[in-house]
Amino acid sequence: MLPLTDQVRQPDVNPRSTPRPAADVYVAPHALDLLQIGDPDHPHTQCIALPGERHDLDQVVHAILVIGLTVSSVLMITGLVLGLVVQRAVPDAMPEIAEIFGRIVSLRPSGYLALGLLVLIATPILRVIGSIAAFVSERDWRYAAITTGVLLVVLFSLLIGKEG
Amino acid sequence: MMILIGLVAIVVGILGAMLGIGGGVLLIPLLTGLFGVPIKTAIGASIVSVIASSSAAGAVYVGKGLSHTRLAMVLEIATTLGALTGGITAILISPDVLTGLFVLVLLYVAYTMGRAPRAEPIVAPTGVMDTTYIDPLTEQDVQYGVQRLPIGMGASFLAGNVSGLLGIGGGIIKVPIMTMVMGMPLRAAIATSNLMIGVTAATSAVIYYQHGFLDPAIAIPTALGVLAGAQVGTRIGGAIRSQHLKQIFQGLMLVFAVQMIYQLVTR
Repeated sequence: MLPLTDQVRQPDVNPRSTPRPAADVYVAPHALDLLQIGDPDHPHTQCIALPGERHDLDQVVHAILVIGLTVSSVLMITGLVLGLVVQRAVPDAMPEIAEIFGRIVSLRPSGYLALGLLVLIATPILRVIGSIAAFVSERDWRYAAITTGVLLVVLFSLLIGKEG
Repeated sequence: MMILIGLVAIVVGILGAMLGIGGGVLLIPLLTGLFGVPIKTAIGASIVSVIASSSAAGAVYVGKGLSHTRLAMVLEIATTLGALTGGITAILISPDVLTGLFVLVLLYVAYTMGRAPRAEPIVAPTGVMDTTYIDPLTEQDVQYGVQRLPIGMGASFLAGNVSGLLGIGGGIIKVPIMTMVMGMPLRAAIATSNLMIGVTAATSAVIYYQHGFLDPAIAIPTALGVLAGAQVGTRIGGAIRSQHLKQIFQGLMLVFAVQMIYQLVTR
């Protein structure tokens, strides 16, 4: 959070930052207000006021990949431990998606294993969705459209995956 | 059996990370040969571990600013389309044909690993998607642009297709094209390829999932083992002379190819 604060106060410190249009000059004091008043409770709101930069995209992608991998690993290890230690057996088929939540609540290993696998598969897809959001916030419509195309192909495979 | 699969996957993860290739080419013959897993289930397990290891590597490369994230998005249109058609083809064709195709890819990978690496081309800005990164070794800014994007799209479709069909990452096809044809520095090509592999593999993984070829008891120890092994492999990477490692790896792949052919013939 600290580097962000520096950028708001000294907009020209970072040589990579693009020249700011008038609208952002107006927004910056608002961001400072958020930092002073709402920072502890609203750690994310200050980011909205900052103008998009080229490297925001990489930060979004990095964060999504790391969080997705961590969450899925924790879920899968939990499922394995539950399966091996508690029940001494591990399921050999994936439950229906609708059943997963109930199995997690009742601490059944198959629920954790299935959700871990699904989170792992979803991580790169969420990365694509996050990139679309980053391109939109940069007003880079061309790459927002290209990335939306990638997402459509993935969703298409979800839809037609059952056929064939 | 799950613990054994996990241990084998750890070894594959270490080797793969040390050589800079995904583990899929080794995992699938090991799962089918040692553990008697059906080839389509082995491909499903491999594709899941490919998602895990390429996402982990991709996160590191993106964090260092080495990936050409925009180029990745453009090429991903081709790789995901390839993975979609490859995944559906894999579901439809017979396991024997799939095994035969896998043997061909094994032999191709063994062959490309044997070739001496060509000198890196001189990279320069081209006005098409120019970008810069800081080389981690020299700490200098490297500026480059993209050349011959249509050929790159074609190669990406092929790489995605092979990935969806056979459960490997496909970097073995993309990285040489990106460096030798598209004029990218090797580091940037590897980083960008890894980033693309995640969503490519996810596209075919959802197809395998819906057809019941994702077996948690096989896919999960595989994925976790490869992830853990890759962490170790990247740390000890420089300790062993990679020329010997390459030869061991090539030998293994030839053994696997012979073993898979034997399976096909004797059935």
